Amino acid sequence: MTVVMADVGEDSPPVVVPPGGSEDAGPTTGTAGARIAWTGDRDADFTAFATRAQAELGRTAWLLTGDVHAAAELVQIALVRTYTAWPRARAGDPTAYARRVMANARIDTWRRRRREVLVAPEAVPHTAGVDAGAAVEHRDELVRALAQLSPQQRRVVVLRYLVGLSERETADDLGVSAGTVKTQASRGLHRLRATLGDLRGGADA
Amino acid sequence: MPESTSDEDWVAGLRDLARDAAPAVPVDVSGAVRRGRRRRAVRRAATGGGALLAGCAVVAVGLAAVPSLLGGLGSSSDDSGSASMADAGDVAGGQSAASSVDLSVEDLAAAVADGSIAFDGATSDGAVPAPEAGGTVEPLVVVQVGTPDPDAYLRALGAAVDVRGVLSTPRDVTAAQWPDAMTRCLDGAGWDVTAEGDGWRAEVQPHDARSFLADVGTCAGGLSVR
Repeated sequence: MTVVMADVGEDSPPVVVPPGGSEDAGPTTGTAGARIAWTGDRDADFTAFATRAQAELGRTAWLLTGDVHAAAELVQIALVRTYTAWPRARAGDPTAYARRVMANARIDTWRRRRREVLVAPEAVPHTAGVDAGAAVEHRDELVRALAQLSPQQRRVVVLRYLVGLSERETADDLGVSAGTVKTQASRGLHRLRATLGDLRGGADA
Repeated sequence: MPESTSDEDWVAGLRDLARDAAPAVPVDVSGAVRRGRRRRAVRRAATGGGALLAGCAVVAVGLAAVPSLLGGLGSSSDDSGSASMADAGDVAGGQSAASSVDLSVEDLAAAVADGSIAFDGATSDGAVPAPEAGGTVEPLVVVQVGTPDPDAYLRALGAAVDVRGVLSTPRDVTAAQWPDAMTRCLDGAGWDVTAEGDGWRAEVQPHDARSFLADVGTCAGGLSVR
């Protein structure tokens, strides 16, 4: 948990607390690396949260959809719903709440459409600050690889491996059993490895 | 043939790849706040006012509230436009005597255009009390069936609202994809909209009618039906 609650006054701006202590600042929340002390002002608190979490939520949404437009819509849906349910979201981990909204929104969409739609990678704009050619190539590669997974496998792989949730957290987010997560994660990972091959060139680890 | 890496190492590489490859996804935080406020207000009005016709399989307009709340706008019902106004009923005491009807986007636009429902600034002219002011206002239920002709659709909207805030780069969608794209766009804008068959339905507070139409215009204008 990287977000702490602390009502310090109605009118005070949210306070970002530098990281420290024994917080589990894993890759699972967009507010990792700093904690937000809530002020009790809904708009200010939500804005502070959303500003810090937007990059991670956007990345997760893109991984779930494979399309920047759909990802933008998905993040917006998640943020609006998180705002609407702010007291409940704030009581736990708002990033996790927003992420669950995204997963469920996608599930709803998949159920309605009976299929997943991925938009061509060339529709995705370039990422600033990195080598554009390599970024597009990697993006293309990753989108194609994820597109080969079933929707369920992709959700599991994204949340379990790319967002970095535990099996239990992934299961909770998706409303499935931990056993299902384990199975789908294993199959999805196996398939991704077969598609993407060796990744050590791009890894720090 | 490179030697095999452990799953853990491979996943670390995958995570790096995803981090480097992920494009910047535009996020409108202030828009989310604005739309969240609106969604919250709609929900509070709907539940707090006891206005929803719970349990009814109603795809309907609870327009009964509108004419009586309009007060100075005269008649308790207005069937002259394409927007069908339900019987005015007695909503002053929280009773809904609505005979419910569907309302299309074009209907709503026509009603707003001809003044039957026209009040984003409801509280300023005193015509319609905002939910926060304690008014009991039933939501309009706007139903979209199928994919309309885009030009005619935008023309109808343009009669009621200024439809110009369209996305700079319209997305190409097929006619079959249009309802779902609209649903997601309107949902993202904070409206209570649900996909239904080959279309969608949305619940809109009367005082939000103009904002809703503007967002419909923005969403529709952001889609290019091929």
